[in-house]
Amino acid sequence: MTRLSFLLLIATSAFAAASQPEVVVYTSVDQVYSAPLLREFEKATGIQVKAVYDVEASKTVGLAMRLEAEKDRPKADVFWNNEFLQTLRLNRLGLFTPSGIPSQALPQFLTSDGMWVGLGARARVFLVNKNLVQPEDYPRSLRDLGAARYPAGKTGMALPLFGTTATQAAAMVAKDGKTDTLLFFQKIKALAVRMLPGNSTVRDLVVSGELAFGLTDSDDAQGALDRGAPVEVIAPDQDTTGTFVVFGTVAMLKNCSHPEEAKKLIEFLLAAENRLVATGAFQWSLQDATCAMFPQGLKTWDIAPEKILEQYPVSSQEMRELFVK
Amino acid sequence: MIFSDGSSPAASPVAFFLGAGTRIWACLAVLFFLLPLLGLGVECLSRVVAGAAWELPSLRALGVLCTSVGFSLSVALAAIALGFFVAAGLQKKAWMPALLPALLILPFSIQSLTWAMVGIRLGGVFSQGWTAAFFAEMLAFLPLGIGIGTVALATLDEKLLEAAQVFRRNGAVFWQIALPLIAPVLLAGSGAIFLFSVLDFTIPSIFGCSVYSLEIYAAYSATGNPLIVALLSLPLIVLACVCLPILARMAFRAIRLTPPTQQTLFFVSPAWQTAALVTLGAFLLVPIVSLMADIGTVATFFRTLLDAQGEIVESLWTASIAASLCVLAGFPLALVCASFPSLRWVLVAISLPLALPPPLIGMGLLQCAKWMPYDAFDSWLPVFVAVTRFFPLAGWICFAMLQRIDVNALEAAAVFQPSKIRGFCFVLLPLSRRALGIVWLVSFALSLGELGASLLVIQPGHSLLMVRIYNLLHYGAAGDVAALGLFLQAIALLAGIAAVLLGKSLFRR
Repeated sequence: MTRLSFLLLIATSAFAAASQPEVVVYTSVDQVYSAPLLREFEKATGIQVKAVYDVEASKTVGLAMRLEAEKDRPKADVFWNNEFLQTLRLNRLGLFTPSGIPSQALPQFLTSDGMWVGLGARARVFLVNKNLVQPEDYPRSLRDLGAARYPAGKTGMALPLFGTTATQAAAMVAKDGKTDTLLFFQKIKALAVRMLPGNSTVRDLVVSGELAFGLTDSDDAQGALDRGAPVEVIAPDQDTTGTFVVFGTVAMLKNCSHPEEAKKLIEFLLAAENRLVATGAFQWSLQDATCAMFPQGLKTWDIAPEKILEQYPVSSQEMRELFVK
Repeated sequence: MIFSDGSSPAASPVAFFLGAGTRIWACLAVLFFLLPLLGLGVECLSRVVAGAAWELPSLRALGVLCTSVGFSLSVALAAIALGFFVAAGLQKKAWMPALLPALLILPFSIQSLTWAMVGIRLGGVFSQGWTAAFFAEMLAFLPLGIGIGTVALATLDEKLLEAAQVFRRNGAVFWQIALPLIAPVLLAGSGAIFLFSVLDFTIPSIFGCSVYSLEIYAAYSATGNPLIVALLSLPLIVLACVCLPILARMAFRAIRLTPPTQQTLFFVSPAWQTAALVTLGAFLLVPIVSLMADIGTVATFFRTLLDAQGEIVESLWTASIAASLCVLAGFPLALVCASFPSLRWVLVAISLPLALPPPLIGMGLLQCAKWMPYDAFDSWLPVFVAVTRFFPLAGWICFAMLQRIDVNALEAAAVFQPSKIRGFCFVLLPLSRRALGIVWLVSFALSLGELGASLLVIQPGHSLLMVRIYNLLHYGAAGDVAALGLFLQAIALLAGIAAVLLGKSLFRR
């Protein structure tokens, strides 16, 4: 009898585990920020979240490739991206389906057919080491990169070959044209601005004092601020064109295995956008258009995301020709 | 001579132990190696058929390739030279075999970033440019260099050196006899370091240097197209196809000519030993001090480990299974290649994945997974990724060690053992146990640090330690990364001590 009870207990547990609702999410939002929120969703709804995380080094490309490879038999239910280019590309391949969850985001941060929705945004900013640069010398424009008033080799940015810097380069081509963009980056190179493998490396070198200032993402800058580094964050070109903003997205996969759970997760994430901003994952809420890092407001480039995607291959090739030699 | 099973001597005494089962298993191992490449080939072909964009390396890119080859070659040779210097100077130290796993286990990415930041803090020539990149990368590969130097020293013929000592001074014996004898093995080992180095772009980029892998990675990031990545990787594959057979031939010849001996290093002076000890001490101390400075309090250390316990357990488990499969796949293959010299090209051929960017291996396995009707295969993908990448190294090490087994013992077993299976289990395996232990440890360390290909195949709900470490690095949590790095080294050190206490030292009979 005891043996039978034990076997029944095992069988019941296995059945309970198998029947627990679950949702699979592929996310490129840093695990440090996304994991706690997903755990909170689990506790609130009882839906088990199975996540696949990404690392900055692969710049979301790995996740996008997986989704494309799995499109005939999707494992993921939700794709939660910290940028938008890969989302646009996958949308063109027909991987998504409308979730039906309403969003308050501005029109440029969602699609009319509801295939994806914008969720949080980061801005391209200068991170300045206050011990090395006086307030009157703070950089105010992208043109200040490599300016004569800063020692040679003491300003830096990430290589415009991948990630948000590459996206910004494509956005510059869409905004200013290929010629002007190339001239800008040729000048950057000629002025010996240090080109580094990633935005977090820019942050680390500014914090350590190796660089006086660098162009990086606002979430990287926020991390430095949170850890009490002697840095200041400046949004470039606020008197003129504004700065470039990279927004995150969330989308539901077509023919996913857990559509109802996926919708609940998307609804939860959209509602939690302000908390993502509070933790530093993003600095701009798209639902209420507020920017925590710049409460006085942030002037941004006004370029359609689709136009940036169109220019990306051209821009990427030009940047490789310029910087890999 | 007729053996107990009726066979006669083959090309090598180990051939006696080669039964049908071992041959079949070796074939399966090679097939296993072929699967991801087949998957990759199918994926690329389907893109060609679909009219996807493709590109071959431009002249500009080929120019960068030449620079990269020169840079990686200098890194590999320097790492080998310094590694041999340390290995020779400290070979007689009983604690060296126990320390080796702790040196190897810290993933290359963490080692190299640590040394890069040290260089930046030092400033001057160490903070920017090719010199800085050279030192950071060379130091990151030093543990592998020490391991290869150790293996090379194991091939020295004591009797030959003693005879030479009668006629020449110690210095001349080293330069004119010992070094030429071990040079082929050192060069063959440097080939592995060269391939790892040529695929890395992070360290050169930190110091403002453009390398060919940056071109590959930029194309991968821009297009996500495996066809383009595979075509851009062609020069590396061609380079590997040209260099590997030459290096392999040198290594085969060196290993074949040297019977197993007990090493003696009379040419290693006390000054050399002291210098080697100082070098190793500095190499260990700098990153450890740097890591410990970042950790903070003991409570922080344990909190970090607690937060990452899931990833730690999963990574150790995955790496252990992968290492075990590397041994199970590499040993039979090495046995086949040791038994039949005409099949040694297989060892060279299976080394080609070392020249491929890791994401391509992941893409190939993703394609293979699509062919399976069920998802049961998928949970094993992270293991298969590590095995595909590292079992060639396991095969090479097993092959080298098989050449060093006492021939007399093998021939006696062939005569007196009633069957191949008994001979394999009761003679060959016990004689090979130290080699298998080394293979397992090296495969384990490399599998633990694997990320590029694993990212594409990790299953939902699972995560690996390297993913957490990279996320923490991006977040700027240096203390957490330091805690995890020190934890890994502590585990490896304990494993090394246990291995030494359980078995004999590698260099004693």
